[in-house]
Amino acid sequence: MKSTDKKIEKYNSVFPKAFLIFLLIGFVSSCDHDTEPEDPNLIDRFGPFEVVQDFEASTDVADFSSGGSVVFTAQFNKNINWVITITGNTSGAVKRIEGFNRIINAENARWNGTTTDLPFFKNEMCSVEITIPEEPDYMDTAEIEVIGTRTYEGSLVTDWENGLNPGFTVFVQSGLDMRFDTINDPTGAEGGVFYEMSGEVTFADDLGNVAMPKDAFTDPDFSLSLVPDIVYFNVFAKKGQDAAEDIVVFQFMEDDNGNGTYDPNADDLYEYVIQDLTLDWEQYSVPYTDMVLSNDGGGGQRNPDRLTRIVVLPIGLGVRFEGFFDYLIFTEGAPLQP
Amino acid sequence: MVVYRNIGRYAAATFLALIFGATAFAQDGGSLPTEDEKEDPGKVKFNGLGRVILQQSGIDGDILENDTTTARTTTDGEFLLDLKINANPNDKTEVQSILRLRNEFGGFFGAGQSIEIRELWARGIIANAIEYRVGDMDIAMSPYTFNLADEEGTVFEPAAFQPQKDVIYYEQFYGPNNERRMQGADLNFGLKFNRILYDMDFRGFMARVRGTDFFTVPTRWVSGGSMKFSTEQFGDSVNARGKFGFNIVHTFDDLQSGEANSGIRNTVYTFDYDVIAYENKRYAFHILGEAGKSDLVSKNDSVTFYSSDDTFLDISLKVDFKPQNLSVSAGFVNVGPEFFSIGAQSKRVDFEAEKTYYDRAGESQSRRQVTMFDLTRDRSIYTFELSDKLMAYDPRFSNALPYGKATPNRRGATLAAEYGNDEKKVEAQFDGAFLQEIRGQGTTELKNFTLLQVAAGLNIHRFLDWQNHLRFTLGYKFEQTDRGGVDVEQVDLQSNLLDIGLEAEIFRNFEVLVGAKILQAEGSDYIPRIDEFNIVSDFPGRYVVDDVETLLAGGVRYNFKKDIYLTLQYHSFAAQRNTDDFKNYRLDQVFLLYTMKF
Repeated sequence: MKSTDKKIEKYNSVFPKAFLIFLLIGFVSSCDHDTEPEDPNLIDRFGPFEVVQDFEASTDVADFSSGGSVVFTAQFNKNINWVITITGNTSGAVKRIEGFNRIINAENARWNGTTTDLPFFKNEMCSVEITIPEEPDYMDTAEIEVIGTRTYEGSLVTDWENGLNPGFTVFVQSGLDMRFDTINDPTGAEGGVFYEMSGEVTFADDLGNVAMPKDAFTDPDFSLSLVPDIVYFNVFAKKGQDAAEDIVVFQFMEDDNGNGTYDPNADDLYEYVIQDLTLDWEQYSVPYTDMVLSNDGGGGQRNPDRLTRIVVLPIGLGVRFEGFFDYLIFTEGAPLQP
Repeated sequence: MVVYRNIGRYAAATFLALIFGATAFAQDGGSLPTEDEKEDPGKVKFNGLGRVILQQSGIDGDILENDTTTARTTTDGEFLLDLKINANPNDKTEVQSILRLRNEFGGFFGAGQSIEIRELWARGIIANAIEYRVGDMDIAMSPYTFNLADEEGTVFEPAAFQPQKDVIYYEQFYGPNNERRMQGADLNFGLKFNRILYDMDFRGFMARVRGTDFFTVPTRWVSGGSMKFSTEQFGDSVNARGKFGFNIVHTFDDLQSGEANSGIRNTVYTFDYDVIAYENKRYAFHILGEAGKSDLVSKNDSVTFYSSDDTFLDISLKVDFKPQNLSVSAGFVNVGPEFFSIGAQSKRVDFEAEKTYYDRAGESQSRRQVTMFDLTRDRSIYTFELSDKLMAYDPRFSNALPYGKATPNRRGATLAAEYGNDEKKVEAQFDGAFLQEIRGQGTTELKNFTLLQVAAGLNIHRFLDWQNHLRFTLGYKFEQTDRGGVDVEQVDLQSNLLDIGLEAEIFRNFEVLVGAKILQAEGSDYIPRIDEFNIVSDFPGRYVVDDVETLLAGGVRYNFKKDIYLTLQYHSFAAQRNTDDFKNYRLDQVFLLYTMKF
């Protein structure tokens, strides 16, 4: 009994100290909180707008062909929506860069020569304008001369810049006002030259064709991956004012048996059909896996690395066809990013 | 080795002493049968409540300009009988049901009537030690775990407004201990000791909060429990002893129900204490409070895509001056900005609910804001249900602690004093809080909150030694919110709420009741738009207010006996706002209310 009483007495003296220590631990541990202010920032949301640093471009001459870029800078007193619009004075190409920031710099406003609205930029003077949708009274400008356009990665079939590729063959049906030729015009989708296929053939569906053997492609090192999932065909096209029909068929012929030529009994043929061309340049891209198998002489297994020939057939269906085509190129991993 | 052996012997002896020295007892002696009931275990009792309300409400003012839709006066009421059937099938079991028979005013002759089961539960004792209850039940734990904080708009409710408030409290099952009505099962038992500890109580419950819709909404459950113990005296010279408790509440969604694949898990666990550090015949010195943590996890297909946790601390020092019947306390609170407790932060008032009286008015039939008129009588804006995000609040009524003690993102000092009780000549209460945000909202600047509240009741008849009852009540609350910074960040909102009441017994059991409530609010603040997980999604705009609301009441009450009375009153409410193109309006109401508890 005496030892028990002593132990209870010991508890009576230990317990208050233990309680106070526990309180101290609780006090210290409860003081650690997240103090980062909650969004949105009130100044961003409701504060008056002020320009801290004027809008500027890092250069007034841009050469994108060597991988160069232009950086835009500005600073405001609060985060706000902004839009930078770059317009090619000759081509009409438009590039838009947008963001919601207080500071505009290389992280959010860098132009590498790409395009938002076709066509591509040419070697031309470009007008640059920055606007803020919530502040209609604010605008600032700059000018940039493009002396070298962006080089796009990919396997180029043709860009028509040097005319019809040597080795390409053209077959034109007899018809009314038949035009199968290159056109020198800076308003092309890319560069200053594009190809026209126009005419009216009443006795046949197609107006003719342009056959492009692989060894005549512009890219002398033309080579595609053997994985069809990652290979994309890209072309830029539009129709003319008088076009009554606007169907064009791209045929992709493989040399599956490796004899150097396309044999319908031994090789595959795939097709890509474009309909509903518009009056403005549009980009049309298709993964190799989505091309339609038209002839399975080679077994029906897609082998883009064995592509040997491309044929372009404008389809008029007995009425007038007007089509313009530019920049045929294969890319890998994703469609071309103009 | 000898030391360890002695520690082991000591621990074993203590454990055995606790267990064999304990006496198990059921927590609710009320469920134990009386001597009569032991003799007649099948006794059935009938109790209940009868109520008649007849009321006419009217609207007037500039708001009705060009308004051809709103009815200028409305008349409604109800006749209601809640029949409580309580039975003891045996001496260890009790069942109770409340059957409600209700008739809308004008709904006689078979129309507008309803019959429903309002309450149903069973309870009993297992092995003379463990009490259980299944069905409807009222749960209240600590202010930070499971608690239904008092509603806004009241400091010291004048007696004139009490009858309609009593209707709201009865309809929403509000009790004196801030309980919340749930449906589920509850277990509790206790132990008594004769050494070191005095007693130990255990409680556990589980309730269903929401059923599944068998598609995207899972069933939601809340479970919880507490272990509370009180110590014997330690330190003979200081008379020290303490009460302690561990609490846990866990709210979770059952993702196995229906087709739902996302749900939440909210766990709150706390430790509360009330230690009498020193006590003698004249005063007692307490250290009391609570501390704990909350966790919130949101899962989608068993993958956690959101989680947060935070802590809180509430500690006070209180002195009871026994001869003077006065207690004074000072404390410190620190509730983290991400403290998330569904059971404690869900409010009584849903400011977005559709109102009974003139929810829309005016030419454009825009929604009318909740006012003191609605808070004093409209049961449709009150709720006891749990909300999984912070509910909307009106900063005019409460900006410092809109969610009670569990309001997140608050740190600061608190003061309180309490004197007397309603049987004495004078009773008075003071509460003060000087708080600051912990995390800024939309800015690094922090809001400061000042809350001062005083309530007093004078039983004048005790001063004058009158037989008839004469009582005056006064309540006043002041709140100030301010924040510095640049112009767009600054806020300055002040509100004053005054309650005045007089109840005079003119003749025996016949009272005249007069009361007034005045709210004045002026200034501006930013009210956040809260999305799920209590994330602030936006500040829609600066909230600017310059309002005065006045609610006057006058009437009579005849008390047939305790809990049976008839009251006839006239209330007049005026809303005035001096900002934007708000149109002033008045609401008037005459009502007759008869209540009978039997």
